[in-house]
Amino acid sequence: MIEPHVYQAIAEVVGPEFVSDDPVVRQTYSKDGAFPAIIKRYKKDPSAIPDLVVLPASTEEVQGVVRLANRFGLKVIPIITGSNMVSLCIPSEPRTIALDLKRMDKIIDIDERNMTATIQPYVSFARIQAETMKRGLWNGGTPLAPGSCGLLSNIINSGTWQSALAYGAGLRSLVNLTLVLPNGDILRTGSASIPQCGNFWCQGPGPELKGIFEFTNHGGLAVIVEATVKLHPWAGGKWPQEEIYDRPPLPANHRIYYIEYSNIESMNEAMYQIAHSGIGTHLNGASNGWVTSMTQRTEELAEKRWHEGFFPKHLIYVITAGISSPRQLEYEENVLKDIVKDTGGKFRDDLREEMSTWHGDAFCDGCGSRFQRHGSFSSMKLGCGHIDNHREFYERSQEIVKRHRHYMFDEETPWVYIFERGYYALFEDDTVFDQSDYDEVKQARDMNIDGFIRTPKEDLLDLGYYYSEPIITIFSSMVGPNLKHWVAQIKRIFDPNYTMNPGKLIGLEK
Amino acid sequence: MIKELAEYRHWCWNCFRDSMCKHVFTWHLRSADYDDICPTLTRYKFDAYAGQGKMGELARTIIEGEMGWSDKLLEVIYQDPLCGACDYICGRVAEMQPAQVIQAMRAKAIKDGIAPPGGFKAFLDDLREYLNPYRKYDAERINWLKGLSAELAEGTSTEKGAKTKTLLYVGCFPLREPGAQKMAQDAVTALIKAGVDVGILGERERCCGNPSLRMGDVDSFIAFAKENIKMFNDMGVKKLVTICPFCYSTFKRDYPDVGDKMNFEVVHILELVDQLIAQGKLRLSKPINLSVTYHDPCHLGRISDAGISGTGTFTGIYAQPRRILSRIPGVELVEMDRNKDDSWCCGAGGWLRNGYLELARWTADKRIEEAEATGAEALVTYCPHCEENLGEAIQRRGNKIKIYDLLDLVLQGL
Repeated sequence: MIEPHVYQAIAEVVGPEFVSDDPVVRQTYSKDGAFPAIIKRYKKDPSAIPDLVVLPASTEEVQGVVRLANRFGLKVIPIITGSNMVSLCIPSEPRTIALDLKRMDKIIDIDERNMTATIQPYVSFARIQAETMKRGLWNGGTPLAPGSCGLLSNIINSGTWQSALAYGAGLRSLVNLTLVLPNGDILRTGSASIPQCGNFWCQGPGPELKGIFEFTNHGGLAVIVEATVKLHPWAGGKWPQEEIYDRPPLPANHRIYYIEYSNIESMNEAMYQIAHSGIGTHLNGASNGWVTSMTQRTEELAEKRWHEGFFPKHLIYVITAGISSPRQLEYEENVLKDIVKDTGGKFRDDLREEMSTWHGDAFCDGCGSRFQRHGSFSSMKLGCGHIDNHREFYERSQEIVKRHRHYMFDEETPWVYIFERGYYALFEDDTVFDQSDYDEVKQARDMNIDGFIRTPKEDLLDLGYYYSEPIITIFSSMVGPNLKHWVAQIKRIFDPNYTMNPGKLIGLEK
Repeated sequence: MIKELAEYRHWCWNCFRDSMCKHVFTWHLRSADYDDICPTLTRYKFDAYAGQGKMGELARTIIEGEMGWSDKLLEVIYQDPLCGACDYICGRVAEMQPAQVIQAMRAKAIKDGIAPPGGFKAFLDDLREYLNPYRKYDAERINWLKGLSAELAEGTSTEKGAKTKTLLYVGCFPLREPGAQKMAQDAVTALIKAGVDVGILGERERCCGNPSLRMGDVDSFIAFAKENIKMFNDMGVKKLVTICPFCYSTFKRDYPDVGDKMNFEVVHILELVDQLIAQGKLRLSKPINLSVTYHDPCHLGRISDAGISGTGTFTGIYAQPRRILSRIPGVELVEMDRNKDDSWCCGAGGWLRNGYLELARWTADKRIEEAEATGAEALVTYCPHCEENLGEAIQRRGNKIKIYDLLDLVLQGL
């Protein structure tokens, strides 16, 4: 319950039509795919419902709301598009404001010559891609989240892009941040902190402060109100094209290759060689379960083909781009052919038509989140390591699968993303569950807990997935308790009143 | 069968709140300026007004008995044009259709004895009394015929309507005001000039039931549907030609849910006119030098049939009006960024003008702003509801663009 004078003060900052304490409005900000929130829902526990929803339109309005929150002892959870938000945007304490940043949706600037875009928080992948691709640029990535996902929420959630081979993790694309700190002050990082200097350098004067506010922040330290991100050359011409339904053509000057391997070891060897050769923008490994779930028009067909084993068990796909010249495509194809021959792979051109839904999703994700049609998804294991860790990761996943009821992806080799020319890979094994079936929810939750709490090992950055616990808490079990103390200290310095999204940066921070 | 709210439980729990329902489908987005697709959310901003808020949370709380009816809840579920943008996008990605759930929420409210909010209460009361949405008695349905020439009136007599295999179902819109009658007259003129053997029902015509269904009065809708299906079957109608897209969508998309066998094909007049032009029965030879942009009515597009447009189940009537325009000498089409399945609703969907006129007008103003941005001299569409709402918006915005009914242009081009 927010007192009337507090409500009034906030309404004066953002305008009365952009603040609401109506139960109907508040209820729609309690939705979450995280197990604790789902279980609260089954128990009809109202603590996941914020007390107030506020829609600021500017940095100044965010400052005003945050200052009032500090003054009146409220908590603030910043929300962008709502995807990539699992467990992160739901109240964990009373007197919480859901700070919906929907009205801050502008692309402030696209600097074509210096290849950067400065954006407000509610800019989605789709929006930045639409505006940059027609200028011969793009942000360099598309997540396996819908294109409606906020670019910054995905980055801050350590989002992984299919094009990580060439452009790295989403976090690598951040240049500068402008933040509203919990006391309402503005902090600019990197070169943006020097007036008139411009947005070009993330290091800036002193240590790179940006790092503290990006990975694992989740609104627990500040509200990001503006960011500058890198752009990259785009060879694809006008995209999207007209009349794209389920079989979109590839963008111009791009090629895609599907290559089947008979085992994980030869697949790994090929991924190393392709990554090190310098060719391609996308290099990822997929399996029958993943591909069927994401590319088939209906869930019914996806299940049928999954059972049939329609797609190969060990499949990699490579995308090349003729950025410098169309002749680049010819050169990279020749290199790829040599590698595939050396590693015993088999080109599966016959899959190209069947997989063509993916041609859209690889550049501009529209349907890639189809894997959630069955219900919700949860990673049972998510890990980073060298490409060679692929086998080990798969075997650990299978140990978990044996202990639980499983569905679609679980008995498959993991989805593999190759980062930055092969320095590391990310492995992902997920499960799918129906939220409307409480038994399935509990099964999936047990699998999730098994995957990331009971079985992490220090030899692989074995993250599980932080659906239930802040990621720092998970890391601490591997790194040691000082990590947790260090982050708790940062939280105390920047947010002494625990105003910002309590419980999400670190568990038990008080 | 028409589904009850509880039957959507799986969707309501499993909406994964991905915000796809709020924006133009990712692959089709052409500009950041025209990214929004949900008029209600764009106007009121809170997630409660989005498909994901209504289906993914509010419907779930109703089904699970966690939330009772309140003025705000009714306002949220009725302040919606049911334009189907969320159905199209969420349908493509997740096989869920939020607008179907919103309609089921309305039906549950009516079943629970709750009256619709705002102006919709009087609208529904009058609908039940007059059996059409315009507060006129059905006897007045034939007034539009008085404006036809004797030759045309003879060509499509109501007596003939009792015998014909091709029936022109006019719809209720000519009852609205005299100006609306021209659309019906133009339709008859085009068909007779092309030599189509067509009849009409005259006073026997009854509402298709669309307004009752959209208000949540499912029982009344079923009564309309059963009566109409029986009448058309008894008459031996083989082809039912509609003018109003609302009626077209209702016959194609909603009537099959009633479960009665329909022995007739449902065709929209634009489909027929497109064929007649291709067959040379309508010859467009007179130049009309005009740059135009085309507004796709939702009921001819993404919600013109059951299933999800463009995914193999059906494709909206998109090619036909564009082909017709391309055959009128001198007409140049300039597309708006949001077109076809990704069109922004005109604001008149779901009979919104009768309940929330301010939202309906705001939505139309946004569409005209987009049409003006194309630089076209005229906006062309084909829906009595779109034309009324968009036409008023053009006037409000200073008549910077003209509006044409597509068949009006066709007749000018003959």
